[in-house]
Amino acid sequence: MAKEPLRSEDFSGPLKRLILGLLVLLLLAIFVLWRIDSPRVERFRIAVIDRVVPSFDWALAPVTATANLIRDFQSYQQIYKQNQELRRELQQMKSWKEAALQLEQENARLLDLNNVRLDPRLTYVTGVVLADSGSPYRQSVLINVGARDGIIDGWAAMDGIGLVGRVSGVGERSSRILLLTDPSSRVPVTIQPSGQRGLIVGDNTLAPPIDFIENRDLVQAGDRVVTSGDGEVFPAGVLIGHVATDKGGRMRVRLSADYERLKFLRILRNYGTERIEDPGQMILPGDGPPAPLAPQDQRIEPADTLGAEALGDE
Amino acid sequence: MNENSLMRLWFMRAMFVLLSGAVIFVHLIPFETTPGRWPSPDLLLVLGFAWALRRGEFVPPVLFALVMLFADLIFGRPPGLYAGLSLIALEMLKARAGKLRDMPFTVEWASAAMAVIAVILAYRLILATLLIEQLAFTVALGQTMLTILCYPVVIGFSYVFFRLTKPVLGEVNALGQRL
Repeated sequence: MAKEPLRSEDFSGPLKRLILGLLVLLLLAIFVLWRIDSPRVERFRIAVIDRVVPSFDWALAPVTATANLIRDFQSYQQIYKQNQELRRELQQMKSWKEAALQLEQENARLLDLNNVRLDPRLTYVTGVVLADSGSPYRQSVLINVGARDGIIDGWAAMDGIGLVGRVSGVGERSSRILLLTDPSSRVPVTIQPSGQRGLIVGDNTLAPPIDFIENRDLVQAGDRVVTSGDGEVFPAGVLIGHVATDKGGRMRVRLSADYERLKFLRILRNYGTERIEDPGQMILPGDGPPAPLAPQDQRIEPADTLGAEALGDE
Repeated sequence: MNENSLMRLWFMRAMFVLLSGAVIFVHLIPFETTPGRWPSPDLLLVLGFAWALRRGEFVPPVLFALVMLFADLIFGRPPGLYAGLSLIALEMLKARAGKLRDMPFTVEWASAAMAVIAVILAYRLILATLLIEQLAFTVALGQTMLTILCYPVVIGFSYVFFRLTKPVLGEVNALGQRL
């Protein structure tokens, strides 16, 4: 009984061994062939790969996609961590920014109190706010300087940082400042990086809208708004605030002046810009070549005008 | 039971081909296109050895030779050499499997490890003699270590999924031959 399988093994054993030997020989022959005639075997290899691997493609694609998904997920996790770190840093930066802003305001106030003369052309009188308008529809304040101190109707009033309004009504010892937020206040402005002109129209809110902008696309939130000097009421270049967009998409000015605490106001003395009435005096037509070497006294005049318009130009 | 039926025999052979295909496939997935720091274990070799030590008839030499040759071609190795060496080692292990049947697992593992080392060492020696460039020594060493360490894993996997055990005394195969 037990001999039967043994005998069959005896038969199959040498055959198996023969096959095995042939297999090993074949494999080694392939190797030797590769060693001798590498390009041909390599071509065969490429043919096999070309045949096999693209047929794996249907399976390779989703697995690779999954692997990439996992990898992406890991990188998202890293992004999350990075985001958290950035948030923390941003928080710190915000506190620093706040500190810097407070220092800036304090510095401006101290300069104001010390009557530091920033620009010799723009002198000012500092007054203390006595009262406000007392009406919710009129935005104005009363200050304790008046005609006695040389205040003239229409002069600009600012706190240490930004424009507040203009003098509108001068008494002997007091004058009224019409604030920018008053519905009747209109101030021509320039929006600074783009140079767009506009008009700040008071509407009884703390952030008056900007109207009549030529090209709204050039104006972005955060742009500086300064007076343009048009209309010759205000000197040009006085900071008013920064552009902000309200919910309705309307451009408004976030005023730089601290309207919550209007205590000291300074009235900028402004005797008006000198006008060039007669262009002939400057350009000198028909007087030889349009000389770059114009007479000295005539050239100074426009230069002065320009200088007076730009606050802090020097 | 159909534990040793013909169907199971061919099923396991098919599974060997399938698993090998899966291993090759996983190697082909472009997980890491930069040069990897870690060498990967030669799972094909260890799979063949493990099954040869447990049930030699599931890994017939022709099948194993074809699979290894295919792997040689796909993985860009010099074709035939590695396949031939591992085929020789596989048959030696098969011949030894009967003696290892009553031995503890560590002996089985050690003999498989010896076979792996022998294959890789012979492979490197032949390549070096024929002046064929090959993997760095450290990489080959790491690959050998990992391959050996993978042996119990493969055994456990085969046991869990395919009930691949050592033949107990008196078991016969589909043809009625004693195992």
